[in-house]
Amino acid sequence: MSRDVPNIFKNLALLTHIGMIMMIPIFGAVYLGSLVDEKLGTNHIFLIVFIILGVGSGFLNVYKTIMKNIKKQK
Amino acid sequence: MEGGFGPKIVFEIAGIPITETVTNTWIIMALLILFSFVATRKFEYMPRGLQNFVELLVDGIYKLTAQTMGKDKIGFAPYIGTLLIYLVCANLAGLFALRPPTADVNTTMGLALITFFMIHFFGMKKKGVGKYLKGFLDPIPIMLPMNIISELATPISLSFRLFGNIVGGLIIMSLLYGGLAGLGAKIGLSMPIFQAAIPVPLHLYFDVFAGVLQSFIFSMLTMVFVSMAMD
Repeated sequence: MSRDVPNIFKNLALLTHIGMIMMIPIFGAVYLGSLVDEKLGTNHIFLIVFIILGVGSGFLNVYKTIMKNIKKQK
Repeated sequence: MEGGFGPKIVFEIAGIPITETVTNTWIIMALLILFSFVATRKFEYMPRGLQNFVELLVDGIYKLTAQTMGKDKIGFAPYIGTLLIYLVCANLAGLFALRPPTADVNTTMGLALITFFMIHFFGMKKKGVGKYLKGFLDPIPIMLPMNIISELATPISLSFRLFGNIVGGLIIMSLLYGGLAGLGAKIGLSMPIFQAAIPVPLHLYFDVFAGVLQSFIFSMLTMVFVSMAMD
């Protein structure tokens, strides 16, 4: 096996992963926020709070993954 | 399609439903155990026949693990090899008219949870529990909920990608076979001529290409995450 083949697959795997780890926290946050709002009868307050958390953690996920890999490849 | 695309219940053991996923996993396990027994029964100093293939496979997995995780983490090679071989066999099961066990989110979530626990266990073991848990407060302690959510996204991402790819292929193939059978009946063909040739390229793409690629991606990501948690 050529030395570059595992690297190509590794980057391909991370490429598909980055899109998903950005999206999953946002969808999860929307679901959880609306669920909590429905249970407590609050008017979209938790939905907004959870969306902010979800978007933040989506960004954090992507940032951490990319930075760790850049550091490792240096 | 009648009954949807979910796995059928084959039988029950003490009220616990045993689905196609479980029985097909048993079949794959039995075949792999049989293969490893036959392949390792008579080792010779100069490898011949099957031993050549097995040595090539084992050597390839060890090299892949060393290149991806680093030589110091070569101990993970047996687990990664098992995972890769199981996933390849499971994803290719569709070619043998078996429902792939990975077309059930329970299987993929189970495998992703093993990876999830490995990431945190080996991270804690290498860095120490205190230092590892303190990493969740980085860069500022208020980020703790975001860090926890971001860690939970990993097993969901791993399991849904594999499940989605395999079940997507399974549904498209089922619809195609159903459609071709309907077309054959409409024309009045007594033999399933359409089903014999037309699905071949799609099987090649959905079962062989996507199946092998997804197995590789799952194993690769497991290696990347475990090594990232330890470094």
